[in-house]
Formats: sequence, C-alpha cells, structure tokens
Amino acid sequence: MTFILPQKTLLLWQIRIVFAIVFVCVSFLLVAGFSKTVLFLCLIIFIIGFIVSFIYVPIYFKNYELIVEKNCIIIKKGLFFKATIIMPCYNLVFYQTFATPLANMMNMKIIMLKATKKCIFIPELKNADVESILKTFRMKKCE
Amino acid sequence: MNNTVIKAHPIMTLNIIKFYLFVLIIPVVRIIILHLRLEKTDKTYILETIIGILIFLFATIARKNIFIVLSNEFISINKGILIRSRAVINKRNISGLCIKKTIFDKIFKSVGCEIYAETERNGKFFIKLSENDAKRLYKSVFKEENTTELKNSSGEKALLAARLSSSLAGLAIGIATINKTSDLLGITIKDVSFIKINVFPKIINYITVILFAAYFVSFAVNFVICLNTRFESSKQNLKIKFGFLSKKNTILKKKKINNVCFEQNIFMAIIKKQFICVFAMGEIGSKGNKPVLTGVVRQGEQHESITKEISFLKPTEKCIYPSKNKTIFKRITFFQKTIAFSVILATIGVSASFSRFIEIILIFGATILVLDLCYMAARVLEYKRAKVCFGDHFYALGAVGLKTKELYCKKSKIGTIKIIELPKDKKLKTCKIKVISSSNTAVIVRHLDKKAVIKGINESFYLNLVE
Repeated sequence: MTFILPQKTLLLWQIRIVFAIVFVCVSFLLVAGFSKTVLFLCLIIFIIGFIVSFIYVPIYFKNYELIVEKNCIIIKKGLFFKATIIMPCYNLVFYQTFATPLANMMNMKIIMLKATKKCIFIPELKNADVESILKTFRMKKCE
Repeated sequence: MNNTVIKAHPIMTLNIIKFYLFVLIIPVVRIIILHLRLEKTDKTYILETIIGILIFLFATIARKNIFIVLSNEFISINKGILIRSRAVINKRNISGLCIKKTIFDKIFKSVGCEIYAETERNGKFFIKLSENDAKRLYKSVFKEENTTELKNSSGEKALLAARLSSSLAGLAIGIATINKTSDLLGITIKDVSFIKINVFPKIINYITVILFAAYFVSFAVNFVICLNTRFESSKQNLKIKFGFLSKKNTILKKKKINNVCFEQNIFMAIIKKQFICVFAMGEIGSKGNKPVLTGVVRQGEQHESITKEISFLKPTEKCIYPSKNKTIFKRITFFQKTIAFSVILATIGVSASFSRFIEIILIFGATILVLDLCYMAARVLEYKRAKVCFGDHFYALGAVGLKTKELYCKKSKIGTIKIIELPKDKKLKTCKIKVISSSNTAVIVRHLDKKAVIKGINESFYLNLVE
C-alpha cells in the first residue's frame, strides 16, 4: 500500500508556519521596538518563512511517500538530499497516533512509529488512511 | 525439579529503607545518641522516631514478602505487602544476571542480584540473597561450563581506559582531589605555567588545565577498573568480572547478544588494533546504549573465544563495495582539500588584518587544518575498506566521524536502513546508507552503487524497491 500526503497536510503546515512567523515577528517588534534594524530582521524572517512555507514545504510534501509492505515500512522523502528509510516490521515496538486541535478539525492524525530505539514521525494523514495503516499493523500483515 | 523457594537476605531490609536513611533514620539515630548522652529529648524527633520505627517495620515485612520461586522452566519473583506483585520469567528470556558484592555484603555474607529479562523497560529485578542462594539461582539459569579467560596486555588495558575516560566523568569524580592535590603541591591553577601559550585569555588556560587534570583522573580510575576487569567466555555465556573493593560479576547469554561492533580511530589504525564492543538485548544492554563488553583486539582478528558461538559474525551473502573510480576518489578528497585551502587563505587573510592576534589565529587555523586532514585520511581509509553485506547475517564496514566501524548483526536486529542520495550522487549513480541496529549502533557506508544496494535490500527483505 502506498500513501502520499494529502493537500490538507500542506495547508495545515502552511498555516502553522505563517502563524509561527507572525508570532516571532510581532514578539520581536514588541520586545525590541520599531527600528530600521528590527524591521530589516523581521523582513528577513518573513522572506525565509515565505520560501519555506510556499516553496520548500510543498515540494518536500510532494516527494513524501509512505509504503507499507509485507514486512517493512518504507518512507521516501527529501528535496535536495533524497532519503529512503526502511524499517523492518519485526522491530516495530509500538505505534501511536495523535492529533493537534487544528489537525483534528481537518480530520487528520500524525502516526508515530517506535522502532526498538528509533522513532519515526509521519506527518498528518487522513483519518481513513491512518486507520487503514493501523489495520494493516493490527492484522499482522506487516510481520 | 521441584519448586525451590529462595528468600531475600535480611540485609535487603536496609536496601528498602535506604531511600529514607538520610531523611528519617540518621536524625533518629542522632536523637537516640543525644538522649543517651544528655538525657533530654527534642519533641520534633519523637514523631520522626515513630515514623522511623514504622518504616523499619514496614521494610522488614516487605523484605519477608520478597522471594524467588525456581522451577524447571520459570523463575517467579514475588514482592509487595498490600499490592502483591509476581513476575514470572521464562528462563529462556533471561538475558543476563549481575551479582554485586560490596564490603557490607562481605561482612553479612550476602550478594546483590540483578536479573535482566529480555525487555527494554521494566526488565530488571533486584534482590539481595545469601551467597548460597545466589549460587542456586545462578546454577538454575546458567549451565556450568568450562571458561576461557580473554587476556589483554597492560598497554591494551590503558587503551581501553583511554577510550572509556572523559573529562566530564573526571570532573565529577576528582574535582575535589584535583583541588586538594594542587594545595598539597603548593601550586594553584594560576601557577601552572607549563602551558606557555599566553595568547589565550587566562580563563581558557585554567579550563584547559582543569580538563586535562580531570581526564587524567578519569583515566586513572578507568585504568584501575580495567586492571581488575576479567572477561571469561564459555560456549554459551560471557562473564565480565570487575571491581576493586566491591566486586561485580555480570553473566550474559551469548544468544542474547544483539550486535558486535569493531571500532577503530586513526591512532588505533596506526598500531593495528581495534576495540570490540558487544551489545546485548534488553535492559542489560540499554544503559545509555553502552556496550556490555568492550575489549581490544588486533585488527582483522575476531577474538575466537568470544565469537565462537555467535553465528552472525560470518556474513552469508556477497558484499557490495564502493564504486572504485577516479571521479569518486576525487570527490572524497575535493571537499576536504577545499576546506584546507580555504582555512589557509582565511588564516593568512585574518592574521594580516589582525596582526595583534596572530598567535591565536595561527593556533586555530592549524587545529582546523589538522582536523580536516585527519578527516580526509579517515574518509580515504574508509573508501578503501568499506563494504556492506545484506543477507541473514548483516555486515557493514563504514565510518562515523573519525572512527571506522564494523557492524555485525542478524538481519532481524536491524532497526532502520536509510538510503541517502545527495545531488552529486545522482550523477554518479551512487548513494550512502546509514544502518542503525536495534542497540542504536550506527554505521554509514558511502559511495555505494545504488543499483547494487537496492538489489541487496530487495533480496534480503523481500521488497520491490525501485531506483
């Protein structure tokens, strides 16, 4: 089974990044006051945030792929540095799902896979997809 | 074999109340002594005395309820007063046993036993037993076998001590000693003028001296420990004995060994020696991912007595080697050469601009250059020797930082495999892989042919990965 990140995940992360940028800039302005240097720094933060949220994250999420095989979980990701993570299922100790309030509103969940000593986070997926992945684990197809 | 019941040694009572010792017991003892000497009592201590007595009674009852039941297949560890708990462990799932003997134990003829089950958490059980009971427990879990001692020379033990030492540990152990010694010698850190470099701020000189002294203390402590450490190997078990005043014996089943790792830094490569690190399963091997056994062996030599029964030390499949061509070799040295060149240029430029700080700039420049050259040497060495073998018995020879690492483990003990492809790799059709074992030992193998790697992974894990 192959899963890709839905468009909603991108929207969710863009909202988060924009909120983070606004929060950093506003607190910076409130603490340091309005001056040319502070405004210049805020502008730099804003440009970096813009590039991250509207250029880097969309391409990164487009390249993100989760494959649940018979005995392995494979994650393909990366923009400049392509990476393929292969986690054999027999080392999967437990899995956990959780959702932030915003993600909950969008009917999405994060999956955390705990291998023997390593943890892998999979960004928000649709609830139906999450259930289907977990069902695969529960039905021990992945063993 | 009938069920045998082994009860906890009375000294276990002290072990239970040791958490309350400083809060309640010591003040109570003090008030009793005061009462006997001066015949007057402070009222606040009466309450403490009552609580102290109650805790002692509670601990005595708790100790009486701690016992082990040995049967043919299982060991059950029982404890608790109101909430009774019983842990039943199959003997096959016991990964090891640790027997500790302190000076107190020698007086009371007791030993502290730690039983390790094969889980990562809550898999450790501690109980104080009499010497005879501890022997019974040991015999019930482990078979008596002939053992071979693994010998290391004093030089090898010094190398081992140097590997285990750190300034931070030295500071924790010996800061008071360092201070006292300098007082006794009539010198203070300020007077230590053997470092003739006066270009650094004084504080840096002091910190350097303290860190050196701390490392020396840590090294001395570890050297004494290493001198008193003995490794014994039998057909099925490994025994590690160490300790000077208080002795600690750890017995580990070879079957429960997760992976074996051989490490080598540049200095060790020159003298052709390697560190062997054995990692185990469960809580016995989970103390900060530290190996349960560390030793020194000659390069390319697998210590036979350790490895005899460890099947995965013989790779089953053909190995994949880095693609050997001039372009890749140039690529390895290009980055380091660029750094070296930039550092030289930057050093010349900065020293010309700030001639007042020329000494400090030269020292920093030289340090970065030496590190860069060491890194380049490590990368070249790695390129020449690197390989990876997929299959039931996994093997990888690669490097992490300045260390060369060889990882041996069963396929089932691989935690994750990460295939990383840099932009340059796309042109050369190569990749690097990072393998993390379930004991968190990581090895990176670079410049491998991507096609061969994917083929190896697909065959080993029955996958259909596409390039």
